[in-house]
Amino acid sequence: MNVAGFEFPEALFFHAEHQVWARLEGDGTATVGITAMGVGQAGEIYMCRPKQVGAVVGQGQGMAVVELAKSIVSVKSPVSGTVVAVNGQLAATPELVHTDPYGAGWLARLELADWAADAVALLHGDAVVAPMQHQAWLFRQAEGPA
Amino acid sequence: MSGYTAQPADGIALLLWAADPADPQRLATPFFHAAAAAALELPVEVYFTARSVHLLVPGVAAGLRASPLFDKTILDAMREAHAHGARFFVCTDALHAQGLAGQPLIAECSGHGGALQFMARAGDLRWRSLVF
Repeated sequence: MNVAGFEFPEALFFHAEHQVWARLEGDGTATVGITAMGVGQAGEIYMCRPKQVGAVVGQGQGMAVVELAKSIVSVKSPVSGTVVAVNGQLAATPELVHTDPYGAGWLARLELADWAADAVALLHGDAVVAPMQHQAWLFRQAEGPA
Repeated sequence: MSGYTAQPADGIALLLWAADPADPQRLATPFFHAAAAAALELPVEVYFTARSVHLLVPGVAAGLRASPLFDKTILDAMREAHAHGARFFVCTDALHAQGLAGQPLIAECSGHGGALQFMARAGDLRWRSLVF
């Protein structure tokens, strides 16, 4: 579905405040990344460094650091768990986060620690619309008049 | 413990020595690096010495930009590093030398710390130290 000009695939789970997504892989792991809205609001991404395999991450804790034009941002994880894979392509081609945020621009895959608890804070399906519209409004307010 | 590197240092200590408010094009870099290190979940300490202590006086960093092409001020860069977890320390001797002793400093300054504290970090093999 499209919200405020950005795509939010219906199969994914989203964290509105942190603008990250999770895709359940059906084997106890989830792939995670940054939403199209998050990427669009961030601007150009120069570098993206996920945590290493083996790192333990809590929901809402840093899972990657991105270097933007004139800014450093800590990307928060939508789920808790242990990093079991990272997207090695990002080191050479960080623009994948921009060009394919829900595909080749994934950040990491985590072995889930407590999906039932994490799911409470995540949005799915039609529940995505209103919170994401609100996030888009907050961003416009922060940016000020064009 | 940082999950970003295989063998993370215990922390990063940055000494601001040549970072001079009169030369603002050099001033974003140390705070950008401090922000990056702190975002990588490394403890970061920034030691303000010599003329860099002026950056901690309210209003000074807010009026400086590293480039006329940037809308962010040096204070914005300092606050970004601080928001990621970097801690700022000011050299007592430098405050006296610059005639700033007793002046209020910006809230992001954690307190006093100078040669002894920085060199203790530099002498600790588990820490890394950089001079700007």
